[in-house]
Amino acid sequence: MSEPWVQVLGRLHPLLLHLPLGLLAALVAVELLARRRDVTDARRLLSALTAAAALLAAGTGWLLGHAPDRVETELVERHEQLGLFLAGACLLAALLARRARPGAYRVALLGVLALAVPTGHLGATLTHGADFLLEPLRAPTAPPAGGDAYAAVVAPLLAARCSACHGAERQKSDLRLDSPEGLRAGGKHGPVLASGAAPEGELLRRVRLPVDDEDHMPPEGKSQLLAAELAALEAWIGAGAPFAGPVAGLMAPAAPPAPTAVPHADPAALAALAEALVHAEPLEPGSPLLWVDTAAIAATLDDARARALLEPLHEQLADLSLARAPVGDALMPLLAAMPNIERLDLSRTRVTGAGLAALSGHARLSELRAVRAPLGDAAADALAALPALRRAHVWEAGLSPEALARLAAARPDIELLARSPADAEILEVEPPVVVGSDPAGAAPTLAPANATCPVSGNPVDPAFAIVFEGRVIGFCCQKCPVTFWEDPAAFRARLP
Amino acid sequence: MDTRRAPGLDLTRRRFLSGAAGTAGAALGVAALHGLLGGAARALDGGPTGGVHFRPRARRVIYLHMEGAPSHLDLYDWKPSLRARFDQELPESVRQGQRLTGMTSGQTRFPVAPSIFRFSRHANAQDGVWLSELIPHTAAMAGKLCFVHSMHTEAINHEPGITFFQTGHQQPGRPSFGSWISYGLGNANANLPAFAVLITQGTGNMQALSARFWGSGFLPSEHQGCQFRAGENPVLFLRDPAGVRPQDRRRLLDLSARLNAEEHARTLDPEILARVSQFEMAHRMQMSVPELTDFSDEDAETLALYGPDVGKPGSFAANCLLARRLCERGVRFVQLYMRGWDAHNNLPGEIRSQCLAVDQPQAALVRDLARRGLLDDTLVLWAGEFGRTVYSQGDLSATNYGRDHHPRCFSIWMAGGGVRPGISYGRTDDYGYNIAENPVSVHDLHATLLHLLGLDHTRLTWRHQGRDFRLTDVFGEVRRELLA
Repeated sequence: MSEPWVQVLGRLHPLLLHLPLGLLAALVAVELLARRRDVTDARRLLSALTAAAALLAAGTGWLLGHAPDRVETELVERHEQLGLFLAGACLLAALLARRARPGAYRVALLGVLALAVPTGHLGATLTHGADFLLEPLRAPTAPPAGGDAYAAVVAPLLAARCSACHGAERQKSDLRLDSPEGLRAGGKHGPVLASGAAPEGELLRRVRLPVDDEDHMPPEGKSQLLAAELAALEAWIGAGAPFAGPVAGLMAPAAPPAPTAVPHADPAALAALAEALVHAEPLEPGSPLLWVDTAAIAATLDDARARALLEPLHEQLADLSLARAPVGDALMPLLAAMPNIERLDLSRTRVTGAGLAALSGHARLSELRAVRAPLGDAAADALAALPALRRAHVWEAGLSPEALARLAAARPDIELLARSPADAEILEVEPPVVVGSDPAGAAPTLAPANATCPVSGNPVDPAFAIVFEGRVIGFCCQKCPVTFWEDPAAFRARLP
Repeated sequence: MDTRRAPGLDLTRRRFLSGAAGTAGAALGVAALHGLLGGAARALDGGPTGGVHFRPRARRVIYLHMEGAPSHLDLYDWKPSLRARFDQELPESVRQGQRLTGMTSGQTRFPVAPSIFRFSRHANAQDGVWLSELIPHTAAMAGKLCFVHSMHTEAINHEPGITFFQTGHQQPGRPSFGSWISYGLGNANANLPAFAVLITQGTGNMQALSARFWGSGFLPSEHQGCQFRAGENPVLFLRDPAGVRPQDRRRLLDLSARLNAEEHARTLDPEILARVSQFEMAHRMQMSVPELTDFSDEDAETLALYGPDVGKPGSFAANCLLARRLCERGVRFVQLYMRGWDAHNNLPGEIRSQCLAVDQPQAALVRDLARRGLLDDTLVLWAGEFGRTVYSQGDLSATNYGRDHHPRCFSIWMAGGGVRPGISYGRTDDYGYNIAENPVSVHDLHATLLHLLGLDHTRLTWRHQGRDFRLTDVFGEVRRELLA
């Protein structure tokens, strides 16, 4: 049964099965007309045709089900049995239609209809996947905010688009995409997630191919991934395909860092900022939280002015830069009272360690820049008292090496950036460069590993040597290396 | 929502302005116009598009464009095996019939010219990166740099090549990258332009540098790059002419704003608003630019870091320091051009002097940004418009060679702004001629940079001549492998 043309015949099954279905509808119509006129001839002709078409469909179906690349599953087996019964029932009906009285024929026709529904349903499940029909009726479930990205987003996506062929019922190419185990195991053609050779993974490569590419998945004609689904898959695989835990960009955004309790900024306060040429914009679209940068007026911004501008926004400020402004410790209690501030830039301000101490215990401040601010050693304790702090730029901020060491010991979780970046270590230097045949006559100092030229078979002249796979290979003349590089594999056997 | 696309909103503006002018006099109309432009009405939008699409990793870009296209083979793409192939013919299997420029297509031979410069391996987040002896200072920053060795472009000549790199299209007329950023993110310092351009004359073979490279194309003209020049007058026509007092200038601006407001109310031409806002910004720049370009508040150590040329206005060192100062002040996009990389002949000599001019300043820029904490949200990009050929243009000797234009592969680096530090990405073949692994197109690079700035390259659009235009046209893929 493995001749190609037999397989092609088998693959006509999904087409041919529609012939008897159409004829069946005609037979029902004929019976509905039977009261008004004589339909004996039509009944006999159509039922004979139906039986022939049903046998054709069943035959090709049998070929398809027993093709060498097919995996026998329970679903295929049940579909096959019902299909054979259905064909038999059609034949029986055609024989009964030859009788003068239609009673027995009509019973057989009802039997045919009763068999056609489950047979068709099983067949459709094979091609379209379980739940294809009723899927639109189910309410979409919003992915939870925390939780597992795989379970919430990726698994349903793979179930909808892939597991009809790579799931519990069929495992084309020995691949199952309906479980973490299946995804990890890969299929007949190797792993589908990231591997050494393919950092992005075969799965992503295939779904990204143009639809008409032979390797594209899902195959042309099957339901394709939506752009949003592809993006979700990319984000998940980009994050290393974790089977547990959230993935950034994949979930309904985790409740924004500041809960919904933060109201949007007072337009008058924002207008005052704009009037003062202070830049303000939302941290991200729609968020009430603000990034505010005073760069444009840094030279003239004093404590009183800063207080007047920022106080009305104390709830919304999340990222504030006062860099280069002559503000000092007097402003710090106001910043300490800003509950949502995450990033603060005090570089080249007049803020000292004592001023910083006012921020002690701030629950959200995670990133501080105080480059060239006169912090002094007192700032070590003030920084250590910021529980959320993770990154501190304190280059030339007056902290002595001892104070920095004390801070590093007290808070190993803070990334302390206190020094100008060090030079990258030089790991290796290549030997002095010698190229070509030097005019003075000193040939490249390469000793070939071979005595005869792999291309011509003539004795090697060391002047024509190359490095191939870590070895020096000599040739007889200038032409031979060119020939060699065109297809090194062809000459590999002639190398020592 | 872009108000320029919706006539209805412009009509509201006209009603507002003309109503105000009719009742309370023209002065109020001018005040209202000031409000619209200066901020109150757009207090919270990052730019005309309404700001970022998602939370950004980078807020600013410094783009060091090496005009003329430096040789990747002599700086970043180490090909030690080529040394043994000196003067051998470039195999046809490598060139594959590629069309060459008119400058070398007539050559009878294409002899392989290995780099004569010695490379060393510098520690980074991977197993080190091999870099040329020409750039020791840059190599010392290897731990911060992200090298892409597999860039490719579509153009083979400078004009279309630079135009493509800057605008995403080889033909002139589209907005420059910096203009798209200005349009997408808006200005973070109302006293300076969002898009600044600095130019350094090189010592090597130079090509034309047209102002349209930093033009705003069909975007409103306030988004075009503003060139800062070397010398007494960094921005032309900024100072009050002799005999004009500051208060005269103010009165002149107020009067022209009033007339412009009337004209805008009549015609609804948004270019009038752009013009008024540029007048106002220029007025404020009379104060902000001298402060910006005065390096007297920089300490000696910092000046020394950028090298001996830092005191020479217009040098690459001075422009790198100026770029840092612009970033500190919130300027969104600083474009530096270093001219003179077009080494068709005498490459070793030309590239030596070019590297002498750029190596220390560009390394200093990365280091200075890093220690000031600015590298976290400032993205530095170093790129030429294409690479150079492995075969020699003109005569090849053991000490001299030339290289022609090569669009099939070249190297760039990036630093900061959410880019993965200390990695090399992509690989070329043994000849440094074709890409062997992970090709990155110019569109991919643009998409990735926009992504880091919080912009979705498919959503940053402008409707012109009946269709939506993007920086990435219909191409571009965000290369997540390059993100931290």
